[in-house]
Amino acid sequence: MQGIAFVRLFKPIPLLDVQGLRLGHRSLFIFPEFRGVAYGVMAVVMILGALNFAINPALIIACLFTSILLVTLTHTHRNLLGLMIEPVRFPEVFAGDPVPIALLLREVDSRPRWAIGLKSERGMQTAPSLDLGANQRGMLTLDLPPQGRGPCTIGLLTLFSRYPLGLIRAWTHVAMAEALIVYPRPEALHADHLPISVPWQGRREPGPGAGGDDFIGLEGWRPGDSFGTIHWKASMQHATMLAKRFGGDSHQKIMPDKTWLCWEDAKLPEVEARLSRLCRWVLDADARHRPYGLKLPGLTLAPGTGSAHRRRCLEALAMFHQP
Amino acid sequence: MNIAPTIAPAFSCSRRVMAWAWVALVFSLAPHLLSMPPGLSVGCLMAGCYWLWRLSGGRTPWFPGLIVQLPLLGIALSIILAEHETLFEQEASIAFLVSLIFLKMLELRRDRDLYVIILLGYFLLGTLFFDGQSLFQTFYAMAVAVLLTLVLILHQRPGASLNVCWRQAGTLVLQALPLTVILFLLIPRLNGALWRLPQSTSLAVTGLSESMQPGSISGLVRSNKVAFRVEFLTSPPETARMYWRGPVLWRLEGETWHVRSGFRDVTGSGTSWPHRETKGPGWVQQVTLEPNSLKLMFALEFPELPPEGGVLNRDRQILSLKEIHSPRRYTVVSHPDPFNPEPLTDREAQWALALPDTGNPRARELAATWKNQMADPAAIIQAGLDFFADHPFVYTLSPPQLLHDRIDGFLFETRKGFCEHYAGAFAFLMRRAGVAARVITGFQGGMVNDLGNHVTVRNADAHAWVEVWLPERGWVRIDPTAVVAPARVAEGIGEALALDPDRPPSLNPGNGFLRRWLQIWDWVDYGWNDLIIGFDSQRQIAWWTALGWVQPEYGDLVIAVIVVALLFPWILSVVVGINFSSVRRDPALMTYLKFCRKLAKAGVIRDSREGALAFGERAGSQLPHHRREILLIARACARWRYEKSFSSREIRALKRRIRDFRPRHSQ
Repeated sequence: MQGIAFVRLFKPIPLLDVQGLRLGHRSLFIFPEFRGVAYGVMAVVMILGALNFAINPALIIACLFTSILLVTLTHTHRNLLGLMIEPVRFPEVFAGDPVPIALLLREVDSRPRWAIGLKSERGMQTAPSLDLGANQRGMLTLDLPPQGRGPCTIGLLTLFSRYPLGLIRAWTHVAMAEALIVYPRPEALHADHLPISVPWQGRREPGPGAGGDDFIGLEGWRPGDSFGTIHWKASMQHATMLAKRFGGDSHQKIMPDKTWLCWEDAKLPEVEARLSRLCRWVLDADARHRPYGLKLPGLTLAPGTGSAHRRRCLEALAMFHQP
Repeated sequence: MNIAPTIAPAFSCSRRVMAWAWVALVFSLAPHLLSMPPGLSVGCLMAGCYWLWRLSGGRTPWFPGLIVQLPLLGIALSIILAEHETLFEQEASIAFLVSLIFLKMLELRRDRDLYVIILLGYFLLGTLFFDGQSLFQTFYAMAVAVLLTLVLILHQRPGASLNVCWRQAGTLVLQALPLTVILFLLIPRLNGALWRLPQSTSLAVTGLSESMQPGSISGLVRSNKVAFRVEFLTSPPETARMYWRGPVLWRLEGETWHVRSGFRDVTGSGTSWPHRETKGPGWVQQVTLEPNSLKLMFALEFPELPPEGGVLNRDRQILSLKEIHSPRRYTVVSHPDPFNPEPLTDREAQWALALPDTGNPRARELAATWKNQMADPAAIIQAGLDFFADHPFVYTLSPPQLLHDRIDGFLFETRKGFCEHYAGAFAFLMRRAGVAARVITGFQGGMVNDLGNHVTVRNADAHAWVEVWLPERGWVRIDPTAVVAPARVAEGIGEALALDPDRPPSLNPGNGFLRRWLQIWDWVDYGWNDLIIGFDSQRQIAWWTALGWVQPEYGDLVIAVIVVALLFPWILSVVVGINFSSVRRDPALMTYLKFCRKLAKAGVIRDSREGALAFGERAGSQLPHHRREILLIARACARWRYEKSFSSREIRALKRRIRDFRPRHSQ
């Protein structure tokens, strides 16, 4: 892989953005594996032997083996050619969690594809291989090793296949266009960690976590659903993608009182521990559907609700004092 | 939407893959197992079966460490060395390789091990052809190649069904076949070997030998092996004149006839001997010779000039300059008339009259009377033939055993014998009567195959006859067997032995159906030998020249091989990339598209996003006087595609309607 880095000069690495991309001739590499080279050497030795001893049937067999290797070249190449790759929105990743990477593959050429794998530069992580029927979709997932908070370097992903014989490998490099930001690890739940000095106005909930949106089960994921609702772990074991459904709606028409989550209130000595606590507060406050604001040294986010607001807050925490 | 993730264990082999690897390897190695030292084969098979038993028992196979493997390897080595004394000999090294593979199989666990043994399995398929190059062996090797390929596919696709993987393996091999043929035709052949494996010195081939004793020819008759095949480029002679000359036997020692010493020594005679003025056209034969240990190239009596790679000696045999390990093809012209440019040398005369000092007194006495009564050698020869004709001699494959003075016993008591008895006894009588004589062994007749228009000569056609020296005519062929059993010469060995109870089953004439099949098989086998095995560098050049590539050079062919090999994957991906499949598979769509083409000719072109009903509406409004018909067809097409209840009667009606639909242009 490293040995052919110069090829990158000629073939630009496709950048995977929301539109997805289709694997064309220009973005596909193909090269024999070591065992493919061994096979080729064996075939050539057989040809030379057959010529030397003038045994034509042996020459036929040796030519057949050579041809099988060359035919495999086509098959391996076509196994990836024309695949549609679409990125999957990153779920929220907290520091210390494995970073889940997922690519949605779509087969649009009406022919099945077999044994497609995904590999990351980082730590040589490999995903289990995927079989795709004609005109089907499939998900390739990969867990990168856990990271600290802040922007995450995903690095180059490699989509590869050695099908059918494992002698030849076709691959493409994919760079994710979307950046991934790892949020601080939320602190474990304790009642006394709640922001007591915060001017909580209005009614107080009896305890954290008893808020409105209860997880009530899994359902088939439908196009149009947010990618964030996909339950990856469960989807892996099913034929279809599963999405988390929430219900038990307890929006009890609580008047949206404003809550401020302040850096000063998280009375902990270390920066990271404070960020952890703030992160926990953000999550809790968000779960209550209550407007909340975030005050960090040098940064104030006005109170608000919703997933966009929550993301803004978490990102602010993640990027706190990051270059 | 379906998502079907399959988990592939990256570095281990599934039990299915292991089991199939076992099957494939046993098939790949089976021919070698048969020819290896039996102890070693049994050991290998036992190791394999033990391994398979562990696998089938649901347990993980036990992987022996070096502590077990090294002693096993030592045992295998000692068995091989005890048999062959060296490892650097073809059979010994193959046996060693086979035992290594079986040992390696015991520790088959990771995919690297799998690839090692599968590649060795592929490689050993090539060595199969040291023992023979038949069509059957080639098909066998191809079938095993599919099997080995299947194992690799199974390993890549742990989740797929066996059926799907079989189909994939078959597809790979089928798609590889065209390139195989092209490469076979293109790869330039070597003239002469670059290196040689030390080979077991004696080539063990059943066939004629350089000596003849009673029983040696009749033993050969039981073998149905092909000795050579001949295609006549001129009109062939009748069977009775087909004498294929083999070893010429001069020396009689006891009961055994031997070739003269130094008959291979052709210095002095060389390739230029004998020169003669051509009498008549002669018979032009194209011989495809199977390997023989005699280094003899057979031809009809009497070859005029030696073919390439052979020399003609004074016995008028064609001697090959090198060993005949593989089938060889040559063209040779023969003339029926014996012709002798030179008289017998003194040494030859001495050889041709020599007899053992003692033995067979009655035969000596009989011949002595002929010598005293007749001065003319021709008369003596006639007397000898008459002796066979006048007494009740029987031609049989299994004459009674005689202990001593066998010629006497044969001539005066049992009077039952095979061609070697008649030829041997006749030559003995002639020599005693003062006529120089020698025994010729070879083949007589052969099976005429009208499919391939060739003659197949087998070991069963082996024969022995006599040549006598007449000063004015030279060596003249006399076949005493023909006097006793004319059918042997005229109709072949099968007919001549038709009443012999000991006739081997291979000589049974059989019914017409069986005979036909044997002929077809013989023809296929001959074609294989001729076209494939005999495809050497001259024929390669001739073949390409005939195709229009005149006299390709060695380097041109190498470049062509490389270009074809590099281009083929691209060509293949273009060919398989043409999407024949989706339309062809759906007859409803095909029918609908036919309807659309008709409308397109009338000026109404379907938009690719338009459904059948919408298109029908639009076409109906553009071609108002066909509106009813168009709507009917469009609705039926839509129903066929999307409703299961559309019956075959309706399908026929719809097809007929579309066929009869002739839309006229809107204007």
